[in-house]
Amino acid sequence: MMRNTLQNAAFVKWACMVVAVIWAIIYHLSQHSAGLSGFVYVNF
Amino acid sequence: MSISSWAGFLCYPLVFASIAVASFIPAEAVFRLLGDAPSEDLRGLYAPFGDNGYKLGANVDTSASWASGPFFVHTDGLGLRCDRDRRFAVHPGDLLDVVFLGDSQGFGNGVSFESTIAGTVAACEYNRQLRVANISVGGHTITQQLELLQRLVTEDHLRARTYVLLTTPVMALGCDGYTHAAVGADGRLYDGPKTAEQMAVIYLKSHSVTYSRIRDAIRNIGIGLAPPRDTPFLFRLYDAGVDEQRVTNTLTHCVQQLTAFADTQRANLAMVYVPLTVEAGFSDISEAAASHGIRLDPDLPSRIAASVSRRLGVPFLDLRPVARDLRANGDPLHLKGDYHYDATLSSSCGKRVGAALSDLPRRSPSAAASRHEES
Repeated sequence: MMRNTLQNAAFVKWACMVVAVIWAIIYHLSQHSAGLSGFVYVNF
Repeated sequence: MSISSWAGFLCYPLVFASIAVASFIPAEAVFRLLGDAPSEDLRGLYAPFGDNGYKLGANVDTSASWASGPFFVHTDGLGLRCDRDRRFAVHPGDLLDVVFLGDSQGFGNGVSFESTIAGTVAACEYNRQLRVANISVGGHTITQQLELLQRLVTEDHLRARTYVLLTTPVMALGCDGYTHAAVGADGRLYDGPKTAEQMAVIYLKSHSVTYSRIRDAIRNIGIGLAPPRDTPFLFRLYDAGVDEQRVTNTLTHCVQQLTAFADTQRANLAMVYVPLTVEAGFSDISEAAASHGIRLDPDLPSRIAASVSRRLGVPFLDLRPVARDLRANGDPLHLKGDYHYDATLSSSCGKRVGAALSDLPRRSPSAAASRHEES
């Protein structure tokens, strides 16, 4: 069944497009502060 | 609907999720091609010191990119925070005018040296021949800062005219504690041994760029911008039910130890009250505490610090008005999702401290000349 779904080219194409759009939105929203929250555990 | 039909239907979300997970690999590649790099996250900054404690390592150049943006940390040969070009580096045997002691706010978590309180003072005083050093370390108590100061004086022969204790509420209420932390092989600070799962998450965070992109996107749409208002640690700091006399006596004892050491060095001591940013707008926290049945007193730590300074005859400066003025002008005061000062508040406090220190005795011309020779 999983193979059938993967063979559904239209669905796979649609899913890839949606995921790409999500990444584009993430890129756009994150433009003004790039970084990683620190793991300096002792904050004060 | 038959079971096989249900299974067939469920395959679609499963395939979508698989594609989404698999997309992290090309996304990681694309972000890196666009210039992203994993954050160093203060790699190499810390070195073991004292009783399972820590200090800043010597000659470190590292950085971190937190939600608030990137910042850089540089240390000199003694492990004291300084500027990138090391114009403000301190050397063994130096005669200094001001040495700042403090915790993470004194260190300047999240902001670059030039915006820290000590860095602002150093930059302002640079042309006036005053030499400034900052031995603050995040998480240090007064006990630990005194231990570090003693080491710098006895082993590195540092001398100073004035010690300035940057007293946060955390320092005021926990001055005699000792923060134990493990310095990892990567020079980062860990609060204890990590499980394999936690280490895997840490590895992911420090080696991928997609993590920070997702985190920043979430912050930038307004989620998690303000640090939590109901954390137990805030309630403990401002708990109106605390035994104020006992805390005052404990802080008095801690500061007395500092004054005694300062006396042996013929140095002066001054205290600066460095408020948490929440003190500039306390109603949210008061309401959060009230919902837990706790009554808070926003003036408690500053009152204790002021009381101790009066008792010991130590000059005292309160930075709360600086924070209040900036808040009135709409400055958020803190970093994104973090209680620590933003660059605006930090440098404003530095200017205020610098102004208060302006009547310090100047160094002799011969000392100033020797500084030029060194540089």
